[in-house]
Amino acid sequence: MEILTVSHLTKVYGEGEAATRALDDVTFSVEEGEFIAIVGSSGSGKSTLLHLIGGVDRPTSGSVFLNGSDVYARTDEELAVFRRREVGLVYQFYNLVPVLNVVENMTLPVALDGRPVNQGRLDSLLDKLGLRGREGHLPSQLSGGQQQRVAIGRALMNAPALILADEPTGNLDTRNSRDIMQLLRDSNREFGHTVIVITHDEEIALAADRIMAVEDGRIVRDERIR
Amino acid sequence: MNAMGRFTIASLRRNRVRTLVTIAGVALAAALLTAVLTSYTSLTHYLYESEAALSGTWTVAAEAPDSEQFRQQIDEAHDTSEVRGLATVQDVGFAQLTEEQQVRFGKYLPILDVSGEVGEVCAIRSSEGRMPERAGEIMLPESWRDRALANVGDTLTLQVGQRRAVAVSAAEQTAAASGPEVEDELYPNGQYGSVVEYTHPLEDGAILDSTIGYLDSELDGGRFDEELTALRERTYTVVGFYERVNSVLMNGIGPSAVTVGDPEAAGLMCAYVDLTGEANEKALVERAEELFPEATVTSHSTMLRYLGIRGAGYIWDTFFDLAVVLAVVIVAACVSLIYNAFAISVAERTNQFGLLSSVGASRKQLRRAVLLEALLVVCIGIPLGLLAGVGGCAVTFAFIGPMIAAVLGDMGVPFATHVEPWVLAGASALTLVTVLVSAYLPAKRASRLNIIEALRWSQGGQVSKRGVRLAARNTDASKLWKRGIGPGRLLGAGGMLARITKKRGATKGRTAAVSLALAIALLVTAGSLSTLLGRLTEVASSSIDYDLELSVSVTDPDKSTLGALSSEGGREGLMSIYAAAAEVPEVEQVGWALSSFMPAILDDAMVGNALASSRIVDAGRMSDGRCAVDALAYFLEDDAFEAYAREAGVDPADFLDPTHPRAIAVSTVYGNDGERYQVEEMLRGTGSVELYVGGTYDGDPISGFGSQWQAHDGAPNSIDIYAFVVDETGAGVQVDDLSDPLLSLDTMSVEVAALTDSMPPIVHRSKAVQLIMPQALLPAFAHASVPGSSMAGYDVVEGLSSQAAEAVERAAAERVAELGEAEYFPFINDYASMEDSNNVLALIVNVFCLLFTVILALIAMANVFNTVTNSLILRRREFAIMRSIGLSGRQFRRMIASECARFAVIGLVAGLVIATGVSFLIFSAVTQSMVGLNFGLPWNYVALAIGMTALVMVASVAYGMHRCKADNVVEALRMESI
Repeated sequence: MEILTVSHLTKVYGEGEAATRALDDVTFSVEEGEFIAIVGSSGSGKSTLLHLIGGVDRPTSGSVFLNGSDVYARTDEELAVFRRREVGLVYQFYNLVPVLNVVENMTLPVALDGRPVNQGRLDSLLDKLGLRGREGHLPSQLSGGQQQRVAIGRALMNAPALILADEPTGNLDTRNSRDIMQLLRDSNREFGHTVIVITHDEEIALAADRIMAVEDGRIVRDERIR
Repeated sequence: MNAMGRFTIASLRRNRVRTLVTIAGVALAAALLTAVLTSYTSLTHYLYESEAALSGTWTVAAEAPDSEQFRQQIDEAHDTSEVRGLATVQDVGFAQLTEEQQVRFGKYLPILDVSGEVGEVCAIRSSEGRMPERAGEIMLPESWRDRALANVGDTLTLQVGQRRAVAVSAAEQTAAASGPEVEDELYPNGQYGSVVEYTHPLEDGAILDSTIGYLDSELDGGRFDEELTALRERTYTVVGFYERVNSVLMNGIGPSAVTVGDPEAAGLMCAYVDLTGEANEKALVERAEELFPEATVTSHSTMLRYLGIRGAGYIWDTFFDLAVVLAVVIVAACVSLIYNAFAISVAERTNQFGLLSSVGASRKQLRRAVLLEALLVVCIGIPLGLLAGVGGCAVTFAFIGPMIAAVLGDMGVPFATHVEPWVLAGASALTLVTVLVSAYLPAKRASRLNIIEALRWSQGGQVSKRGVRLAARNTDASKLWKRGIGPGRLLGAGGMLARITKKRGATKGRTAAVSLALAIALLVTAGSLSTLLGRLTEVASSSIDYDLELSVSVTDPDKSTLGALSSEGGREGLMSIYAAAAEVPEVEQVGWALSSFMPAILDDAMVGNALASSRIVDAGRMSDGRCAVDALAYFLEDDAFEAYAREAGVDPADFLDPTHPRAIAVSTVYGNDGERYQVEEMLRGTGSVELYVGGTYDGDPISGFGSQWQAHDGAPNSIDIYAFVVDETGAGVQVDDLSDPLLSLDTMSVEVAALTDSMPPIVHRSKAVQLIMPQALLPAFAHASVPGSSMAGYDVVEGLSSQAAEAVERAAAERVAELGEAEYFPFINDYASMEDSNNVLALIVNVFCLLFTVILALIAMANVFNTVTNSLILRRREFAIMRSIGLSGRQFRRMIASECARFAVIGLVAGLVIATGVSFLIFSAVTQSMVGLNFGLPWNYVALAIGMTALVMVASVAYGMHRCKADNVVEALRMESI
């Protein structure tokens, strides 16, 4: 079943001569449960693509359909709701809220949605992420790998349809990188989450079901390896 | 320029709004300091110039009998470097005046021989003709010319002699008498400086100099009279006149004539010295005493004050206290504004500092970068500020300078902006220091952070230790996001986030709260100042309905009693004078009235609150328990009374029977009850009043009554009434015991038939019980021996009051002359002109308060804008994170609103506390010279302050949020990630 459809997506930054075409008429679709790696050199437009899929930015033209509904037909308010319910974002720099502790950061999307926290889900995530005993820690008291696990926990807390990770291991050592990838892989396998990971690490990319290569805002390669 | 310099400039450019606000803040601070200091120097300069124009530039005067030694000391002093100018004035003698001249100028004409720089040092200058240049020439006061007693070119022959004391009783010849008090200076505007008390060991036959007033044992009660001896005829040529009689020219006897090189000058000599070089009055006087060891040294304290030289025991007066409070407020405001601006700028770039040090910038280089930024801001801000401050003063004084000069007593010196180099230097230096300190402290703090901490700074704000503990506790999923009431519940997740941020954040909102508190405090301070000064000018202004008042008194005490005036014939003269004055075309007579002051005993049923409490009115119980108070009886023209009675709702016909006198009484009194000025009830009912209108003591008529009022704690206040009698020898006798058998009291019962709180147009409010009656009742008072007086009021066409006053005075004087004997003395009160000058004063006060308020408001608002905007912009990344995971715009706004509400409340409370404190200081300063003000916050300004601050806060938040939202989440997230 197709969960994500990206069609003729274009994003232009700046105006006139200074305009840069970060994404240029990108079209593809993703099946539910896929694990996709997007690779490309820096500045190729892969992060822009991810943000557009995640509803963080708005495209210059083109559209994104998630679960059959047009992401950018939504108002800004609806887009915020979309971000907290439908997607889980994981960044290279974790982007945790500094004044919130581990569990608060993880449950923030739930809180923003005004729903009660599912204790069982929180517990199982804490166990899975290896964050037991660190529930009350603030981001500044955690290592990079731990912070990224909190960020993944936050992305998974609402059981979103799609998990988007932008170079989630870019800041981590090999061991932590492998752990993080394993977590993403597990969430894909165990919970059936659709995961899109941006990376330029060939090894990580090879763990994916499908690899898409982006260059100069276009998809230059799209192959299913599993 | 090195890399750090370029980096600094680039960062200033990038944050254009903040840079401009910072420069504006620095400029405002410098401008305000310059303006305050320039106002001060301009005022001081003006007062100095005025005083120099009036009294001369002398700072000390040394007075001694003429001697070779004293003359030598004067010559030596002349060559001393601290002496900027010197003039000597010496008694030549006293010229006998004719009877006619004595009326106007006193007994004698003192003649002074002057030498040295008298024009500059003693302000002795000719207003017509010229100064005397050789012996035999004389300059007289202008009044001689005005009275047509002398003209330039006239030859004046005078009998000049010396004054000699004559003891009244030989037995007391050697007894030392306390000499008359001598004012050491005359001041403009009716201020008086220190009064020096001389004790002259007077002896019979002692020669009196010009410092000693006219001795008349009958008048002053002393033991000496005086006579003019050794009279010699002297002939002078009148060469000029002088206009202003100052302290040098006015001595114990009267205004002096001025001559030079008089060969017979041998009397008391006074050296007026413009002596400088000492920091305080005492040292200056001591230095003068060194120069002139034998002389009596006095100082020109008014001048010294304007020169900034204060006496050792000089109490800070209201003005100085106010200036200090204001200066402190201004400096605090400026420091806070600049400090905040730099603290924010540095905080914002802390991560940049981390980056820079990670690539090898030393701490010194980092600090230098901040200082460079400060210097760049200062280079633009300070010159702008100085220009604005001086320009603002120049524009303001160009408009209101002439008014200030008029209010301060126009000496013909223009009130102009006077810029002193030290003001510019001082304002610049103070601003520079403030900026450097403001820039250096945060820079030092930032450069102390280690690189990793600095880099991490970008991850968002810091968490306090308490925040860490709170975070560690809040891990139970069932309780997560559920706590919190109030804003948290009301504003949803946004509110809860705000609450957590506030609880755990290290500094968030604190600077904003401080700037808000300051804004409230500044505006309320300005309000307190305006309100108090406004109250002062209000109290100073009168509430009289008409423009001119002419009061004519009868000089013969026998003919001025109420009884004498109550007869038709007795007041005929007065009425004809008022009638003559009423014919002056510029005026319209409001009416005229007779009045008389006397004690009144009231029925208990009449005694109102003001009398019972005696807070406003001195009323009390006599020894027999009855309530006594001063009464003021007014006798209006019958027509005027009729109108007044109708207005009061009573039939005027009921008040016309002299065998049963009835009056309308004013029931209220306006005054200060110890807390505030207010109207209080004086009479609470009608009834009968017993008036003490006269009587006799041992056959002599009682000429008046007085009262001795005594306040008691708890017990009712007591009052004792006493009577005055002048016996056949002309001596005054006070009779304290009203039951003295020799005393026969004449009392009269008047029925107060109606009460009203309105005044007839001709009657002023007073603190006496005012009884209004028609003149038709006067026959009932034919036996009254208490003094009566009269006055008339006139309305004048606006702007013509001073001409009209002159015309009325002239008409009255002409009529008085026609009536023959100098039996009447007319006196004019020009209320309209006084009102004008009060209005001018109020205008000046308002202009200053407005400028002060506007500038403080600008500073305060710039500060609020700066802190609030930047506290948001600094957290844009944090906001971007929240938005990227689904914080909606609505939740974002609620979160910010909730946070702002918190620090707004903190700022408001703190601001009101500070404002109350500062207002109280201002209040204390003002109440040093004013009684009866009550302390309170100026609530309208409090409301204005809260309103303005809220408005600016909303604008700042809107701008800050706009900036945070303008860059899209993606950019904000990426921006500070290093």
